[in-house]
Amino acid sequence: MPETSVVLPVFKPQRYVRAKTPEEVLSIMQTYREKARIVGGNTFLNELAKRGLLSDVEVLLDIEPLELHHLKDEGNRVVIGASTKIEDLAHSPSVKNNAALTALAEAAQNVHPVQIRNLATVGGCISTGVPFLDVPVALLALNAEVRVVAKSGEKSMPIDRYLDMSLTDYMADKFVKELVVTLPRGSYSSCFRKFGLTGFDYALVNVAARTSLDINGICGDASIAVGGKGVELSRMKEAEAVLTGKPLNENTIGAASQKASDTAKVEDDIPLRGSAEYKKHIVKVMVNRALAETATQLGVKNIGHD
Amino acid sequence: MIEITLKVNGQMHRVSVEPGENLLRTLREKIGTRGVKQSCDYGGCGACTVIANGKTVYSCMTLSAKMSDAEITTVEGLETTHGLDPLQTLFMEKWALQCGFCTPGILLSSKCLLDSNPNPSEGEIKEALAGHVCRCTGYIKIIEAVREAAELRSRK
Repeated sequence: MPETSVVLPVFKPQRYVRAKTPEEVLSIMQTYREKARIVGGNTFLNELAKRGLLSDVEVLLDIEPLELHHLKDEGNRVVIGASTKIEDLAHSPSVKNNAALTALAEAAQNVHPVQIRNLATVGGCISTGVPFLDVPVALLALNAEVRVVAKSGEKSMPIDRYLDMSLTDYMADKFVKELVVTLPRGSYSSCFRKFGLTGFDYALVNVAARTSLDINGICGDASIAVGGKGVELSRMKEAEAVLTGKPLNENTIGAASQKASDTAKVEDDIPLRGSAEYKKHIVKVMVNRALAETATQLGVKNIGHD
Repeated sequence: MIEITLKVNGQMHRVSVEPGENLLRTLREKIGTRGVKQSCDYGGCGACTVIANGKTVYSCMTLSAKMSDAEITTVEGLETTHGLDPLQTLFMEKWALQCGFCTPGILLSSKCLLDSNPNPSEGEIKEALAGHVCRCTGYIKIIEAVREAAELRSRK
């Protein structure tokens, strides 16, 4: 039998624009809408193009001249420009050496390999509409704020709202300028954990967690985010509530992990990445490991995990 | 078409590229550095790795238009007037290659690693080479060759 070949629509943008001002970016996006795309690190471009998904793109918008490469430590917060490379985020002393932000550096370090970390950008990874990447999970757990440029001026929005929009819609009226991560007051620790089929793979499940502990050993604030290839990217509010106001120990962490597993929305795609039951189990194990690590960092002794 | 300037292996080139053209195509078809290999073409195999402004990147994932004024090193740029780079000699001596298709990319990642970290641990070598697929050697010989190149450099 002759093989049937599928002819995919060709990616052939006609213009490449190095935008010099934010106004120029917005004006092109509003004129061309879906036919204009901002290029960040372009690590997804070739793959999407080869699958015939970018055949309608006419204009590539390079925002490099806007010089959004900054990673500023402002004492009580860290400001990360949209064009910051994942590799720079992974090794930034302000991020990796601050216990409340470590999860973000760990997530960046878990993007493999280095050739991709050297290209991919922070703005790109929250704007491509790909729901299983590592850095967005950490930003979600750290309550990052996204500062966007719109026609009416600059405005901030919480990362969860931005991700909801970027995962479902094409945004022609705004683009990311920078991310702001504010440092909470008190004793905090954060952690990122990833489970993939190989060390190189996209995450099947990725988890970022941050917990606080007061002088009486009570957790005042807990934040847990999960995502991955089979798991809906979201905060685990009910699991967080299990920990708030309680001591951090094996029992409370075990109960929070169970709650995360019960409430996580998972896809049941057995041929590709496993059954829903399997993924829920992995969510429980990974949340447990991430929480146990934050507790250990905060000085809680004898915390074991699965 | 967009006019860009690239410094490839020390030589300036002025080339016209299409807006969506990747660096892999520009280097192979317009500049003629065929040591840059096309394989998977979406960032999964490492064969197209080049050094751009001192950092390894997948050239299949890099838009040429975005790289204007960049300094690029391909495997052709490893050889100097003194001969092959010691990494290249050691890859041959240690049997760190067989068919050779993945070798240019692996050599460039190894060079980039040793330039920034002259005494890498085995784990650091593995991390630096994690973005390469080799279907012949089984990797052990490659790691040994890079290790030995590091030792050779430290003796000089």
